[in-house]
Amino acid sequence: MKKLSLILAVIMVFTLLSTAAYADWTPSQPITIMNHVAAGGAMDLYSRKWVELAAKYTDATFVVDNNDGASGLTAGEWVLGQAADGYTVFALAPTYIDAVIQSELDCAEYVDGFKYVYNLMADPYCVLVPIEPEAGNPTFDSFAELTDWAKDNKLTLSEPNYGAKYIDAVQVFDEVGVDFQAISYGGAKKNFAALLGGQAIASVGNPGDTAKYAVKALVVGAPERLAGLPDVPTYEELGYSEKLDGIWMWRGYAVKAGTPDEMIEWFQDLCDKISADPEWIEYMENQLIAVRTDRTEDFTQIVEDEVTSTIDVLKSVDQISADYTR
Amino acid sequence: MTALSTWLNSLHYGYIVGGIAVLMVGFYFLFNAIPRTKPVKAQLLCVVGMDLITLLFYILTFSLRVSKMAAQSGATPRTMPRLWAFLMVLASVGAYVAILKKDNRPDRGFDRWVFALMVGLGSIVSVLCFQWLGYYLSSAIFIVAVMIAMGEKNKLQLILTPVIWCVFTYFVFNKFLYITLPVGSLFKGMF
Amino acid sequence: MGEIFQNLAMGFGVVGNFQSVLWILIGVCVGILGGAIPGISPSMAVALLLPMTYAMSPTVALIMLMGIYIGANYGGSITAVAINTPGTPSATVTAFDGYPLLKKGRAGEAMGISLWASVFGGVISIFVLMFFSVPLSRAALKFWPSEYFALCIMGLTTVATLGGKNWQKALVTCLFGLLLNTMGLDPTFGIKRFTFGVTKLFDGFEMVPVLIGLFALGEVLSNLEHYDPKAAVKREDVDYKMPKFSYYWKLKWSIVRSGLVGCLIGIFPGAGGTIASFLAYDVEKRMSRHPEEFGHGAPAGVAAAEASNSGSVGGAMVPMLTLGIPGSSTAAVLLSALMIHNLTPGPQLFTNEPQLVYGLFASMFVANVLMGLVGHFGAKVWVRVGYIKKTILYPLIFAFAILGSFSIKKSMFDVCTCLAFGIIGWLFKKYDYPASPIVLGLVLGKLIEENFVQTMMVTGPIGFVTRPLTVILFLISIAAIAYPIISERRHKKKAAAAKDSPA
Repeated sequence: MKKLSLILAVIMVFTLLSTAAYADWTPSQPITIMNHVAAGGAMDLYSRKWVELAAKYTDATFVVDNNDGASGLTAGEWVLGQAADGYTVFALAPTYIDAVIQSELDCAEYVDGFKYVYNLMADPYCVLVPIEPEAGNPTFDSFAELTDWAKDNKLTLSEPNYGAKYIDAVQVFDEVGVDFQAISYGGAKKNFAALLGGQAIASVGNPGDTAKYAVKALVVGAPERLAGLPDVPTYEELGYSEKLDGIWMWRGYAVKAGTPDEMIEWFQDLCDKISADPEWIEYMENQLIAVRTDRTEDFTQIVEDEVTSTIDVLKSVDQISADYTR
Repeated sequence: MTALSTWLNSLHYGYIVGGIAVLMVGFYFLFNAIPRTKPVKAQLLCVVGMDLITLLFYILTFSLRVSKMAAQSGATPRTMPRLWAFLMVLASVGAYVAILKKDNRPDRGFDRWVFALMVGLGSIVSVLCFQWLGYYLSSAIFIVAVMIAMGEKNKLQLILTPVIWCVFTYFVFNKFLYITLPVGSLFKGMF
Repeated sequence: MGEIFQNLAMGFGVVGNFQSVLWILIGVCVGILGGAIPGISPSMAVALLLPMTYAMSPTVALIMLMGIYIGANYGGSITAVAINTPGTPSATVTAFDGYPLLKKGRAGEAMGISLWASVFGGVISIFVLMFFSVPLSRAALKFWPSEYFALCIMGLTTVATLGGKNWQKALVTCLFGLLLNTMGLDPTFGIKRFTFGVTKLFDGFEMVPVLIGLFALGEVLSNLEHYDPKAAVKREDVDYKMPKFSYYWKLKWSIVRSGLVGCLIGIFPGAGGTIASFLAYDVEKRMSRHPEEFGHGAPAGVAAAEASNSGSVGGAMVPMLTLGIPGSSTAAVLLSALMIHNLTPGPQLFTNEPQLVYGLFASMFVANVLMGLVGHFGAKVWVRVGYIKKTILYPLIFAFAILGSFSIKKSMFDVCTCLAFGIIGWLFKKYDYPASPIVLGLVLGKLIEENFVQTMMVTGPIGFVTRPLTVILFLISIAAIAYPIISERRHKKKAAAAKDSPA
């Protein structure tokens, strides 16, 4: 009995000591931000900008790393394989969730294995066409022209890897009542090379793409028109369900479940500061992205919705087995 | 075929590797028994090994899912593996013929192959030890072991080589590139 | 035309100061070292140093990163020549002839050729980039999946030259490489194939560990098999001296041709320096008067591999600067460097930021010159690496291989891949199976499949025969296979006729 109480006492002292150590969490070694995309991808770009701005508010060292294998699965698996000590952060976007579901992996491990810490942004989806289509391809000035044309012709969409943008395309064109064929290209950049080269008629992308490539948006899925694209209507304005305006691409940070709460709080506070930074806001505005500040509860719900809709859509196109469940 | 494919797919990969190994041993004895194939058995076994994997992949293609998109496009995830498997059959027939021709050089004899294999296996053991001993200690031991096995007697070099290697990797990878190498469970508490 | 020179003069004005040159020099040095370490690819080297550039002006940031890119592309060849370990996939071809040259004791020659071919290949590609970037960027868009597919098939035809006498075995190993490359998520539909429940296999085999295993470990294991500790250490007759200029002059056409091939292929996003070097090597072997030397230490082989590989750098910049679509993964990182500084690439970049664009062009010249200088002095040191005492060299190559495979994705699985392919490489070497066709299969497999499926979706199978460029590329491939067979037959006939006529 004496022995037992001694052990208990020792355990209690240790727990107290360790919580005391965590109470005011400050990093003692570099924090790795593991991206699910290759260097140069969208999330990579934003996390690097984020790290640049983080230097204003903290002395902590952040290392941005990339692991783009298997649509981001290898990055997720790597983070799950690290210690839950707060020194590894996973930078992810819907593409990762799509990859998990496409490969019919266990969501309990690959989705619930993370704690979703902070969502940084809402990047709307929009339907894009080339400004000057290749000879032989039609020109469109409005979404109605595109849907009318698609009634008598085969509409082809170029999509990166049947990922999140493809999922949005299925939802949009189902609602609109137009059949389309998606052609998958590895990565956003190849996708636009294909679109500009006339291999496909249109593409679902993000508004920021209009600044990067010679493409224009016909319709944008956002609650109201974007300041940067004042002439582009929303789905609701065109008479479609407002549900389509509520689908957007999130990009944020997660950590392995079991990471100390103090670290998460510290990290969320840092995210808050950066999200309020004028330089970050201006940068996001330039990319036509809305800044978000969703913490764990909201972010987890966002991810959950993504999981549900992705499973539904992929089952509807027979991409995954009908027996697959969350 | 589909049933066989689904069954193979449900097997643990250990059984599949084991199965291929057993077949290879069988082929070894077969080639050893025939005078025509005896001098070139190892060359033949290389192709046989590749063919067995090809056959495995071909059978497995039957259980690959074909989505609506794939069905529409006329090219499915099954197309390319089957094409390569088909070409592989043609190519390996060519290779068998070439190997069995009279003017083909017989297998090279085994030199100190056990030594080479031991080094190869040693490196695998050293990698497996990373999780306990950590990268630094494990690779230092490996380097010294191989040097001694190769007959190095210079004590200074035996000590300096692993030390310099570990210092180099620590500073370049850990400190400069932030690539953390496994520390090993033995030492985890120390850092 | 005059305008370009005027702009270039302005560009040199931008980089023509001590600070800029210093940053380029730092970039080149870091790049060379990074490229030489197996497991640090050029794109990783650039990404690792990217955070350093946040505080710099966009121009300085970009020219330093460009220096890394150029340096890293060359750096890969150092270990390829010295220890048969390609530091980057595109340096694989350099090892084909560079390492045999070194084994023959002609190390200075091998190092010298790989360096100066890199420099001049790079310079050629800058000229192409400067004068033709706008028309070429349009060509890049005209390159549809069917063309990529045909280009890959053309790449596959090089297996015929890689195999030489053992062409049947080369064919088998190449197909085996192609088959292995179907493992993992399929590139178009994302269906998992042949993964046996191992999530690590979802991405197939990582390229660099396979390369290190097949070439470096295969070589070491095979040497260990014939190693005799009691044998007296022979003083090998080694020529460390770098050759004179007149020696390189003999290779001028090889370098020009390969530089252009590299640049052209580099333009097409996703094709990359590796295919370029395989194709350029093939071209040189076919044009050479002594094709039998290739693979056993042909100087033109080293020159072709390195010139085309460096040429692809300029090529990759063409679509990046004009369209915002990077031609290689490293160019993608450079692109993100631009965007972090709030600059948007595209045609307007040339008009809005001419200082940046032409400063970048000028810096590429400077970087190549500096690389020549750094490489020239550096080569004197690392040329000796290949001749370090074997008892030290072999264990270190093993350690390097393990470290290099680990650092790419920090995954132990990759290390095991490397060791497994090391044993395969050893067996292949022992039984006369050429290992390079496996690499060719692994490089081309995904590309072939992706572009095949895309063609089926975009145009249907008709696309393979109706698009003129595709047809031309197919015809070249057919000619590439048929020509040696026909010419051999003709030779035989002639020989037979010569035998018959005196009688």
